[in-house]
Amino acid sequence: MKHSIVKESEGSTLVLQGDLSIESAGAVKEALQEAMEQAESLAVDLSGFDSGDLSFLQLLCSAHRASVQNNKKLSISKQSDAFKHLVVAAGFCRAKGCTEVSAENCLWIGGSEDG
Amino acid sequence: MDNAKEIFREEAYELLEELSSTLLELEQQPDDLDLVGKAFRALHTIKGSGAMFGFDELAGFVHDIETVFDRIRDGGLQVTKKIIDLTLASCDVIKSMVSPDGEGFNAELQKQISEQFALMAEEKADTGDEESSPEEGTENAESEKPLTTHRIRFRPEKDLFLSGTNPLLLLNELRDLGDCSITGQTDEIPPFAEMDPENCYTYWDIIITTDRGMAAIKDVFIFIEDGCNLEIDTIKPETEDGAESKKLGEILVERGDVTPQTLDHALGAQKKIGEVLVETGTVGVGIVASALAEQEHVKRVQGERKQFEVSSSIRVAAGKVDTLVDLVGEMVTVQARLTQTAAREKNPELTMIAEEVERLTAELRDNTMSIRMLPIGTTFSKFKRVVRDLSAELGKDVALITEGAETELDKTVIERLGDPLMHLIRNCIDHGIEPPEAREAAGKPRQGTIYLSASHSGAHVVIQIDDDGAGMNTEAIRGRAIERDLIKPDAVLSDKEIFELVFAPGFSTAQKVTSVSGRGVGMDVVRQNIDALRGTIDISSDKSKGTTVTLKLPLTLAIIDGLLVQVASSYYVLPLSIVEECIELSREDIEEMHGKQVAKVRGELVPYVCLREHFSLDGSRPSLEQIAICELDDQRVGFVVDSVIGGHQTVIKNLGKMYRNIDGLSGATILGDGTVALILDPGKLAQQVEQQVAVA
Amino acid sequence: MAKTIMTVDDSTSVRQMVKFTLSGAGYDVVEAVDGRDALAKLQNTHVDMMITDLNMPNLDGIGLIRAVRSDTSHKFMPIIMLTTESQDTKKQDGKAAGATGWIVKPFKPEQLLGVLKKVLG
Repeated sequence: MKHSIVKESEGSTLVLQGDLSIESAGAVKEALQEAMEQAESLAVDLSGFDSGDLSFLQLLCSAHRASVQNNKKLSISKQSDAFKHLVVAAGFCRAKGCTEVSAENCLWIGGSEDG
Repeated sequence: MDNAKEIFREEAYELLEELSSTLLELEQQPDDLDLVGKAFRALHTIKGSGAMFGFDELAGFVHDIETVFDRIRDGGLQVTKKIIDLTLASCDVIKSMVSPDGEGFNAELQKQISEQFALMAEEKADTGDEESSPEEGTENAESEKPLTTHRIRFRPEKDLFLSGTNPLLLLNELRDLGDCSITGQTDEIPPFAEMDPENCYTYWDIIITTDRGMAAIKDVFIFIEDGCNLEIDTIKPETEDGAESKKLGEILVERGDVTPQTLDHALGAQKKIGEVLVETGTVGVGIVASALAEQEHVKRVQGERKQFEVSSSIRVAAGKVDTLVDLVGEMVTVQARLTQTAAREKNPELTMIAEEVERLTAELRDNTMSIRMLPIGTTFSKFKRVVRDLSAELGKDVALITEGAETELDKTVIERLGDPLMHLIRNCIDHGIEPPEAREAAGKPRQGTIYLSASHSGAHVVIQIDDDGAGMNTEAIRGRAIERDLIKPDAVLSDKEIFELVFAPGFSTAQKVTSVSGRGVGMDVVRQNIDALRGTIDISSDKSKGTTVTLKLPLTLAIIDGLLVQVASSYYVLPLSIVEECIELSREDIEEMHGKQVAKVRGELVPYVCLREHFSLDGSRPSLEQIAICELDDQRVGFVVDSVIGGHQTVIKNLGKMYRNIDGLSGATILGDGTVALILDPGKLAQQVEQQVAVA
Repeated sequence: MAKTIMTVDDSTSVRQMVKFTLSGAGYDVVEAVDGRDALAKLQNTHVDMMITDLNMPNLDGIGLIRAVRSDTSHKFMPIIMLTTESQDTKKQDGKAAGATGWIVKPFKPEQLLGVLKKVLG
């Protein structure tokens, strides 16, 4: 796993690359935490995502919920095909968010089974 | 694998050495559990590896000994001198069982030892539960079961990842079993700050429609049975009969996410039930979403099932259809008799009935025949695999393009067509298509193409196998034919005649024998097969551009439309599909051609065969004869008969053993009055006569 | 990149069989003769999955699985244990120690590959 944070006027971008599976879950959490603390609006760039598993999706999900609760923004700006496949494999695509806070702007809304 | 067996053998010898010395030590210190463990391990390994390398008998023999040592290890048995002696004796038996030639094997001794150990092992309280590995379970579930929809809630324990399990792989495994709707439930993922990233917080609602049964689903989760909470319900098939799908509320109650009371309460509000339940905080959005997914899944599957029912089919044993065809054949024969009788009796009422029966019989025949018709596509798809494997094996790059897979052909014909087609396609890859480098050098695309097509043409199906390979080398064929004494070195042959040579028995031009061709089965066998199907085979080839093999096959082998003709007192049938026309042949016509067996048909000369002469029938030729002119390949040949009786539905009966190999006859049929008529094979007849003329 | 699988067994023939099957399916295979050897080799090799026998000298399969699960570098690695039908309690111990799954000996190459697909994808 490699990560870097790019700061821009509109907000920051967290670039996560490589293998984002359970072995690196701790490091990913720290990276997310750090990036979220620094910015009001955070975009996660997953164009360099090679492989990963459920632990990564759980982290993104929880991070997103936390930012909604803190009136911040978190979105996925770019994603690789491998990431799209992971979302589908885990059955995370949905039409509505999973809790009240994120009912309308859940990360996984709009993903499709064909993606 | 032999090499592996050798390794096992060496290892077994070593282990036996070790076992013997351990046993001797154990005799001195019978309470040393380490030594017991060591002996157990040796036995265990011999058994385990033995079974894996095919020494099943050995594994069986060692099993009970191993069990006894396992018991000693658990304290259930004491080491006795008897056990030591017996085990030492078994070492020798094992050694002889492992040795390549079974040297020194004493079956009697083996049996004795086995019985003794089995006795000791049996004293062990029956643990009973035989383990099965997951694969065995899956195999059992392989048998076809009705398509059923199951609802699964899969909730792994938090420490799932620590057992090295990736739950997404299990989901994929489920997807392999059947149509799945999977909803990952994320509502239990804790707030970011509190979550342990190495825990699993997600659970899944899965709706699966599969014909593999409950056991196959459970097998997916076999490794984590105790590490997860798994609920599998079969969604009651009560809605199967097209009744309305279940309401969302019903699904939620069935799943236990909502109590009936809450549901009633929520139903009171004039809003969408899902929204009410979420707003009141009864259930999460995800839960409703997955219930909605279930609703949708069931609807979709039902829709598919309905569609399936519209074009439904029933499976019938092939034998039953064969019997039906036979019966229809009999019926056609009887109907012919009825028609004949009616014509003789001149009874208008009977004639009407006979005509009615004739019409019905014809329809019955066509319908029955169509039951036996299958699309040829099933055979085609088999070849895709062959082409792939074979081209890889030969280092060639070949694509197979098929066309007309929907073309229907009699079941028997399709079955018997498989081998010849396979051979022809193998030939294309082996001899036809060049290696990629050679193709590039010749300015062709690296990938060769084999084009396999089927189409209807009258009462025939034409199958073409077309390749864009090197084409047939006429010089090589010629050389080979001379070498094999098939032709004289100075013979002048057209290309077509040269291609014909490859059908000669034992002909093969392949430079070296490959696993593909050169197995002694050549084109002659292909031709025989096609002949047996009453079909024809034809080759054309253009050097460097490729080869085309054309097969022409009759639609069916059971009943054909024939032309019934009479010569002297005998009846014959010509396949109507190739008869072009019938003309008269008078004495004057014969004289005009100066006795040559040629007739002038609208200015064109058509050779003919006089059947009376050919079959050496008694009597003299009538003054006015008939010629049935047939289209054979691309030439016309006439057959001279005394009279043409007319069209005849011909139920083909095979000739008896004694007559089967007569060239020129392809079978027999029974006429309305019970007389037998022989079915002629015009192609063969013409060839025969041609050869006779050539010899003369 | 080919995945690396470690086969741990004191029987050469079982290791050979596992290696033969897995190499044929395109995996890289590392062999270890017992639990101690396996731990040593894990120190400096990246391994994606482990297939281990349970009865071995020095360090047995259960001990090996426990050690791997408490080590940070290969904590989440799938581990398949080889058991025999007479070892139900062993199987329970193995699962408790953190084994991902098991294969009952004797097994056929296809069974091994089937289990591999299940836990390694």
